[in-house]
Amino acid sequence: MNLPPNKSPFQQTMLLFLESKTAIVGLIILTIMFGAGLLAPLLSPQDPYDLAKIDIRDGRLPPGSMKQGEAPKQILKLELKLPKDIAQKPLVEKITMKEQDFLSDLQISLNQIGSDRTYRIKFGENPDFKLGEIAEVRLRRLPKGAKVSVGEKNKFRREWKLQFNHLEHLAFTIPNELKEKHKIEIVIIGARRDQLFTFWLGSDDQGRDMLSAILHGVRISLIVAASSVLIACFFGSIAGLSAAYFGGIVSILVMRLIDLKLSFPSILIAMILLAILGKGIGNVVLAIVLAQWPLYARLVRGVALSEASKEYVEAAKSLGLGSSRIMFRHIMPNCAAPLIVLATLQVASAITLEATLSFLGLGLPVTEPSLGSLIANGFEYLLSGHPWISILPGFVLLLTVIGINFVGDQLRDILNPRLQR
Amino acid sequence: MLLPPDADREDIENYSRALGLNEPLWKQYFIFVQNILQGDLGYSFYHEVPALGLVLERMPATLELAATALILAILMGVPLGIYAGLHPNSRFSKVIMGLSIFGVSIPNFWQGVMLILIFSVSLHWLPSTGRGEVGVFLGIHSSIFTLDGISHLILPSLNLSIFYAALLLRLTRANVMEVALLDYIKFAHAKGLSRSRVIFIHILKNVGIPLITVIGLEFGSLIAFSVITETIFSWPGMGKLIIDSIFLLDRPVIVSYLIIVAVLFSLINLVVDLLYSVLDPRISVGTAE
Repeated sequence: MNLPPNKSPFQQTMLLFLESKTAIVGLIILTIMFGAGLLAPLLSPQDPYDLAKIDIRDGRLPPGSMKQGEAPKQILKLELKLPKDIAQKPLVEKITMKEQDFLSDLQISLNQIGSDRTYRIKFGENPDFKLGEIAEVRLRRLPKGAKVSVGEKNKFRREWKLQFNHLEHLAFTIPNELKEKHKIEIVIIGARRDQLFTFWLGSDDQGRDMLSAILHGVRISLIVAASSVLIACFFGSIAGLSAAYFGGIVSILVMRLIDLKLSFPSILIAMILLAILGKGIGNVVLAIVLAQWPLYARLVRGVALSEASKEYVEAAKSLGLGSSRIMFRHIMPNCAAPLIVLATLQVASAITLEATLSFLGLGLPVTEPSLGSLIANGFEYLLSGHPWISILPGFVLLLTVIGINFVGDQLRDILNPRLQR
Repeated sequence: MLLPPDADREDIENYSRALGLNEPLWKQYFIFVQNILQGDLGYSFYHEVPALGLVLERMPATLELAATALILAILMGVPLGIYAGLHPNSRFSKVIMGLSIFGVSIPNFWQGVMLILIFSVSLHWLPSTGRGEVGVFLGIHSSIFTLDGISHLILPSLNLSIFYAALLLRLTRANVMEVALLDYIKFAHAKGLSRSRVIFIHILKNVGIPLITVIGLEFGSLIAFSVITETIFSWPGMGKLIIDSIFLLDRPVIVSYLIIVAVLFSLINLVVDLLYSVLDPRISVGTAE
């Protein structure tokens, strides 16, 4: 392909990069994922780490369910003024809810039935009020020896609880030997709860919103992967560079360490390390760094060895420049291109490694779930008909890794000097 | 961890003396190395049987899983790779390559979860856990010899093999593409040799060398990666044992596992190196002349 000559090297690289459709798709996926990770605290409807906001009663809701707020509650205090002679003057009370109460159009009346001290409580005398608005009613502070017609008595207190479908038959009897005044309480719990937000992707077993958990999971996965790749790249490059530049004992030492590491799969090394050190984000990063640094060291050593014999290094040496200056200012920039490619692809494997470790229960704790621990949580509920808890975070993980691989492959193609067109 | 929390001081002392924990650290290490050299890796804290025996007992299941997965990976990866390498521009090759990116990218454990979901939970075709019935043939115990065992083996080995199939596919394709353009292949065609002879004799021989190396080395990492697959499918192999032991802090078992895996890796590397010299006469072992 002919490149426009009046472009900077960076622009030329960008043009080459955008030639591949898969690379563009990968870049779009990555942008979305990084955006999601970066803005996770703003985008997510719920803070998945704040255990106070998570309600276990919302557990394992399918995608699209609503998060419901606390049920509205109203406590009515009612003073019974009991006349001396009940036959003469039956007690009738009427309560109308105040404007600011949640059921402002509810009317409650208290009527005496017959000649003994039995009172019927009626809810919603007015025709436009529906009893369905009330979920539950509790009667509290009834006098000693009182009896209630329907409902379930609390084992410890003198409190009766009844569901809305029993309301029509609610009546209570109080003993005769009562003082003139007595305060009772009627607690009304409304049926209509606030709809706080939607669980677009369902909720997990703890009642955590999956969308929020996935957004934060992406964030954690990317933070862990990016920081471990940066650290590994830094130390690996220094090790490789010094091995190439100093040769001799340094080179032998570094190369043996690399061989030692590369003969063992990284998953095993990371696993054993975490088994010894314990869980936690820092230990996971350390494990990934230890698993990955030899790759950078080997690559940098290889490139630097071929660079070190070139004339410009010799020229720099003859100018009397210090070895650190030559290493970092002259040789290092020439290792940049393959290093970028390797680092990009290693982000994908770092994400996978972290997720795998978390899945095995060795990575991040359940209170700060990464994508891997989310999948592990969901795995327990896979067979019980709640597959989304496991599928969705896995899908996001897969997309992220594929995106990185797409971009990395294209970078490798355009930055590889052997394939330069 | 090993004693109940209400154990009194005397119990703790007795127990740590029994485990040799009262000795200084260097002496503990010395005893440890001495015992290893005598083939004694200690007793499992949890199972209270020799740790080495415990790991060795679980090894056949893992080897069986890894070997089946390797064969599956070769059967899937190599032919498709040859096809994609010979016809790099055909539509089918592009589909294959797309799938291979998928295969390389998909996290192994999630893939296992999905396989269970599809084939066990939704379709009820295959069982998802355990090893099934174990048959005996020529003194070897393996799941391959019973139908039930095979049905238990399919999903775990498929899960383990997909990544390696994709890897082999990409490697085979790259090598075939490279070799197919060389002069001696053109010459073989010009000589009028049949197409299949050129592919299977001339091309495959040269592609084979790097392939054997990768296959050999990957067998080692298959054993390591079987930890994940065994955990998901509850396959009673070494990998499941090590994960359980890590959670139980059963150190002798962890150490035995590591030593056995290291020995296995060295053996595999040795075999690969030897195979190398058999396949490629230019490389010879130990006869530097």
